[in-house]
Amino acid sequence: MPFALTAPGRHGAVLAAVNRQAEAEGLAPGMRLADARALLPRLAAAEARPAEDRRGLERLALWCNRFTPCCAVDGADGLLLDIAGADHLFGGEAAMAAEVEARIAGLGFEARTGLADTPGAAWALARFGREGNRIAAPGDTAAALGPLPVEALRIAPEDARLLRRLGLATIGAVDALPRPSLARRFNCGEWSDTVLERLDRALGRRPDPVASLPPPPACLARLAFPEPLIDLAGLEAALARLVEDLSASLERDGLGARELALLFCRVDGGAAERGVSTARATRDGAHLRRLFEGKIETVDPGFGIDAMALHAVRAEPLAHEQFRLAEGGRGSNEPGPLIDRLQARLGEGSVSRLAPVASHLPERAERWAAPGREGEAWPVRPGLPQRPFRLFDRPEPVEVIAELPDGPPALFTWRRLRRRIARAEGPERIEPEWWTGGSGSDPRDYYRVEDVEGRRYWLYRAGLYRNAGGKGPPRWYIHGLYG
Amino acid sequence: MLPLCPRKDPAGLAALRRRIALLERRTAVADPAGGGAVEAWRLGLDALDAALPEGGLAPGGLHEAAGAASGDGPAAGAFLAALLARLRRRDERLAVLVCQSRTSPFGRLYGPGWRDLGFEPADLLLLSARRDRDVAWAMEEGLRSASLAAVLGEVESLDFTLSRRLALAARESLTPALLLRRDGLGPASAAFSRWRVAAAAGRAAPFDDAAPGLPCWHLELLRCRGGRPATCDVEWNRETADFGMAAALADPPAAPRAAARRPALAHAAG
Repeated sequence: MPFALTAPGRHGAVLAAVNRQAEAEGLAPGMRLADARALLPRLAAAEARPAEDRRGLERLALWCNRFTPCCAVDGADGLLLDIAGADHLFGGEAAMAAEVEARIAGLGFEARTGLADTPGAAWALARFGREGNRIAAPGDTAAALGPLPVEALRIAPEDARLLRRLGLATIGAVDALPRPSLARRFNCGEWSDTVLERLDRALGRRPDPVASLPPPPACLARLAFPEPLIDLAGLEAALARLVEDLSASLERDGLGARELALLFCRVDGGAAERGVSTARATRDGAHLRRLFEGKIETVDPGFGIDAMALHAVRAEPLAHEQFRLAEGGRGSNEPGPLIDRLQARLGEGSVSRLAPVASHLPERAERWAAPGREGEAWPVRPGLPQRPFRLFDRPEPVEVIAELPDGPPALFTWRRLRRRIARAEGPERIEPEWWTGGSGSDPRDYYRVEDVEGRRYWLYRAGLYRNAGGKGPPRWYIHGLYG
Repeated sequence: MLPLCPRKDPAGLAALRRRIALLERRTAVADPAGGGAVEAWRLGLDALDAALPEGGLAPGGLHEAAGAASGDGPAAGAFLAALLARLRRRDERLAVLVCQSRTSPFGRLYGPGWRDLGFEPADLLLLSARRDRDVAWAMEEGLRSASLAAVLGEVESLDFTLSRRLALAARESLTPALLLRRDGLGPASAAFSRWRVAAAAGRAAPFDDAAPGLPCWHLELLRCRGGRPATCDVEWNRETADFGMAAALADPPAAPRAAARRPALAHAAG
């Protein structure tokens, strides 16, 4: 059954992709749907959904973690796998390429692999290389790319057309030209898109930075199962193994993990990832395992999970004597593992420490810092009035009866209760911080007051009666509560 | 053991009491590592310490406090913070986990204010959770980790099961758990001691008659396992980290000086 995907074009729908049967009937991407229908009335067509294709490709990239930890989506239809150091696990480069193709074919996709020293050359070989000839031996890139057409250089179509018009059909022919003339003629547009640059990158004469490829994890452990796992107990046992392997390799390298990612590869091509982070570098197996508690349950195993990998995405040096810092008896002074567990369950940023900030404004005098570090000592401020024990993020307006112009409050109403004030201390004037751009706001006069029942409040008056100007009378607020 | 007559043998009676406490793992439990016994947590005020078993609060226990009225919540919180400041002087472990739900009617915890109560804010680990259940879970984790000096939590209310869990965790790790309940003290709880706290009018500041002085609370020990109920008015002195008896009768309530002068009153709407 011929089938095609369409995309909206300037003059109606255009074919975006066709299947084998349609191709055999003479259809190709880029044709208008009306023309294609005229050629082949029984053509079935559906609208292409590039965003979903992209998501599918990203899932596939995650799933490819079974081959190597460095996988990324490349363009609209490619995956880039950095297999440096991984091919021997699959019995060499050719065997690995065959395995990748077979596994992806098992998922119902058609894939071609190209393998070379540089990403550019691999890209060219995968798309333009001939069957059985898509693997360039190390150091042999120029010979492997020589017979390929110039389009394989990933250059702009007009540049490729121009090269062909000049009689340069293959990469080998372009490479044989003197470089200065090539640089002079093709120097328009982005530098990275010029013919010379592309050629140098593909042939490995220049570094080819691939932005999308994630950095390799500091340490990793992987496990493939002969039989797909479906039940939770099996996954937990696998996690225990992975954690054990990972902490052994972390220990060998003198590292501790700060950020971990657990990857699940499903039989049906699905993949999932769960991450945790730690407040301090650690390689304690029991602790790491507990961090993933409750996270495995959220993974849908589908028809089964046949490979798992645990990556230490970020690691820091960790000296050997710090090992075993998780819960011992009384006196283990290290709350790090506890912080990790709390954050793993309640969310990043739910645990913090209070750190002082040198500001007179009460709401700016502290900041919530990350909990991992030792707390900064708070400065002593002798002679300053006491601060409240509880502070309102947003001062609440109150109605106050006070002596004019700047006497302490005598009576105030807050939360519909009238409170008679027995004692008051103040005012403590706090001016806005002009250097932070707050010069437009009013100065505040703070009063520490105690009502007849002994409850204590921190009230302030924003503005002055004397020079109220057009702003109306000053307003009163409650900003905090004393114990 | 022979039957023993308390009047004739007070030392034997004390030994027996200690033995029972040990069986109940209430106080004075020998350290699992073989170190010294963990002492009770003295308030430093005879009127209260006498009402508590072993002369102090059990370090491995859950202690609940609530305000007597809805406006007394901050006072109850400050009382618990004062207890922590006393504990802080004797525990080498630094961090105290403070758990609170994000929406508290009393506002958020304020570092400079903790320092002014006598507690170093850098020693606090702050956890903000959305629900009371999360607060209880985090408190339990904190207790079981045994890496903290104490755990303090603030909840709206807590059912018996959760309070029992907290009490067990505190007992096993010998870490005190302090709980502030905003809804007042519910009907049942597994807490070791329960306190009802009300703000009380205290004395004026020493050099200014019109200014508020030391914080003053009316404490009611409603229930304490192995102890007896007690009531006391205390003052908290942050510099010495001591409770003192409030001298309520020592000086009368401050005469409203302002009223005598008949000032012009202004009314400002907020």
